[in-house]
Amino acid sequence: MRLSSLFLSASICAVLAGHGGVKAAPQTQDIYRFTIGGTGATKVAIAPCSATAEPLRTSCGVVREVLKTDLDFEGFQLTPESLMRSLPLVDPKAPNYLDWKSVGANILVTLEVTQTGTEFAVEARTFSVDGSSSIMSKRYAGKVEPSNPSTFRAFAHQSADDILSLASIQGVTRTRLVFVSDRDYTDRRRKELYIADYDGFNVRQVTVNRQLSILPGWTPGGRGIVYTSYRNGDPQIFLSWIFEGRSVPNVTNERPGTQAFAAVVSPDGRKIAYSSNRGGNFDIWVANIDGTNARNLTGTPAQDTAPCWSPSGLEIAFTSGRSGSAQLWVMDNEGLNLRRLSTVGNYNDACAWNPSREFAEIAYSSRLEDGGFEIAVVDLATGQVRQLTTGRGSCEYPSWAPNGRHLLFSCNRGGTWQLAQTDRMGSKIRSIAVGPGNSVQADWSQTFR
Amino acid sequence: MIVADRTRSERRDRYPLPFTEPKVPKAMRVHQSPAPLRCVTLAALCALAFPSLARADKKEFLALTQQIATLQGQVAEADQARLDAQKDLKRIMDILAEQSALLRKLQQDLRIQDERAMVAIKDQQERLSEISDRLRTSTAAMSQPPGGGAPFMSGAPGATQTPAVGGPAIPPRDLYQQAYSDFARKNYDLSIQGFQEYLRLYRDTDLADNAQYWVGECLQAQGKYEDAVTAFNALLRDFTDSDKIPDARYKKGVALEALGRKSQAVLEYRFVVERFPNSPAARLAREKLGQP
Repeated sequence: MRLSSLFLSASICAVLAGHGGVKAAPQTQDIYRFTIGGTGATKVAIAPCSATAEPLRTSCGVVREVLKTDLDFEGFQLTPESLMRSLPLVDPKAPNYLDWKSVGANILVTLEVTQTGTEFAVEARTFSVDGSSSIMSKRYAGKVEPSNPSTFRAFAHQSADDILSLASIQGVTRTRLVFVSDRDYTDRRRKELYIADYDGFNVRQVTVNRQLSILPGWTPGGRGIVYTSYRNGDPQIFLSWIFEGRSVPNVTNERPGTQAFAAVVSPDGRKIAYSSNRGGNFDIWVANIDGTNARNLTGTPAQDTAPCWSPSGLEIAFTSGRSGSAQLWVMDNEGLNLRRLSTVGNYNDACAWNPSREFAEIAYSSRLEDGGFEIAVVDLATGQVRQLTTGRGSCEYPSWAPNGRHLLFSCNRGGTWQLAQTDRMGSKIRSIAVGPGNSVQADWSQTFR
Repeated sequence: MIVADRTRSERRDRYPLPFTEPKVPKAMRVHQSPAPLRCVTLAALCALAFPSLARADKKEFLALTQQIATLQGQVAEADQARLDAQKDLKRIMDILAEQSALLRKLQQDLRIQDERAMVAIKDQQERLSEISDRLRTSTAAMSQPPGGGAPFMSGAPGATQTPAVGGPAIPPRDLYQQAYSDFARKNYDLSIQGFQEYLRLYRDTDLADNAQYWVGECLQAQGKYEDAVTAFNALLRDFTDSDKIPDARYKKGVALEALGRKSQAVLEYRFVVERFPNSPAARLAREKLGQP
């Protein structure tokens, strides 16, 4: 069942209350409305970027493209380029509102890139075309290399998050993805972890284990990555503090011959849930983040794997074979109040609980018949299941954006595994180019910056 | 992350036990020399032992020889019968060994089968409950006059249920799941309201004890331990056959401990360990009691 006919519609009324910026916006009591998606959606025009000097023109172009992509990603309806071409050059500080009314824009954003000595700055101004007034003016500056596009991308992301906040949306443009890739190896036995910006740019390698490093997950603060490593032979949980260059091997103190994998850090960052066979077969265990006080939560003869935390940290969903096939089950964080969650599909695995308080739902990989896996979401309020992806091959391992409005996963529609993102209803899917080879098991960081 | 299909692999491993013909020991083969040869040997011996017989009537001698041959045949038959009996015994022993191996295997499987059966039964019960709830909702909807306002009738005779104020009754499963989703979103007050509304409207449904349990969970999550104890007590009092009893007892113990009433908490933990020794709650209670 593909619910592409459903659209995301959020009507948000925001009252301006003097948004701060380096340059203060003119005070106004205008009420502006952001409607995202559907009929009557707010149309946002991103005016051509103004560069105060010719060498800044390229950076200007980068900032504008990134801002457009960021706003489009959150479902903003952007004014088409073809309509804007006929308009006269815009004054970024004082636009002619009539020009922008003529192309149907409700909100206008102007961009200006300036240079003062060694400092570069992006000035982003947001206007209400309907109210003929300024809404917000922000300046993003720093001493940077103009040839380095990543800094200007960061300015644009920050600007996008500020504009999104006007529509009461917590932007995720400065979050990061961690994923597994075989790009640096020719055999299948070695894989490393890589991180990238939320849109796939700025890819960097974070592990050099020269063995299998799989199933990564961010710590809530976004400074550490917990993952499964085969560096010591059997799979063990490793915790890597990537910005400190420090790694903790075998966090759960597995003895020789026992295995642990698929660790996830609790929302408060204090505990990890993981699967271990130290009790004879694979069960869900919970331990402190340093591996102490490990407790078996399931303790049944069935295989229990792939835990995920609820946003409250009070519950854990996981995959269990106890009913004869792999299905999703939920229990509290002590292993009590156990009940089965998934009822459709003959193999349901790799749960991801929506972190937002706005949406109570769990995404997972589901195999309905004998074909491949697809991404599905079960709504905890209604029990309804919606399938987000469909097609040749498989899509697996969903992970939520911290605002709960998007999902990240990997698909092998074209022969290799590539990362992809979609909104939570599955109406718009985009692939994320993170480089060569197979890219799988991606996890979205949960920190808003 | 693949969960191994344990049963399937175990079934694959369940080969029939090997069966081989028993080998006959050498000592027994001595008695298996061909019968005619043994007759001739005996006849010669008889001739040597009783020379007077050689002069006896030829007819009598032949009769005697025949008699001996018959006797020898009978001995051979008895030998064969004994051999057959030994073969049968060996076969029976093998079958017994096979059967007892199968029995051991079945006993091993039974544990897993039991668990699956329980899950299947619970699934069926939940589905039945859902169908029953839907049926009840539909019946109530049909019994409402146009314009609504008729009270929602429960399945219990004489029990009258009132729909939520300001609108038609929310179907039980929707109300329950909405209340649960509020719990998952940390909207504990809303969740408590939802589950209490569920208990008010649908107290005779299968999920009522679960709803009461969730009220306790919400209060516990809010740190309202005194109220949580009251909520768990309500479950223990009103739903005596609930499968949530061990969990609720344990949770009540945790709330009592948080209130500093350690000795009362210990009583709850002991109750769980003694009455529900195989439950997950008993495992936690044992940890609380410091038992291995």
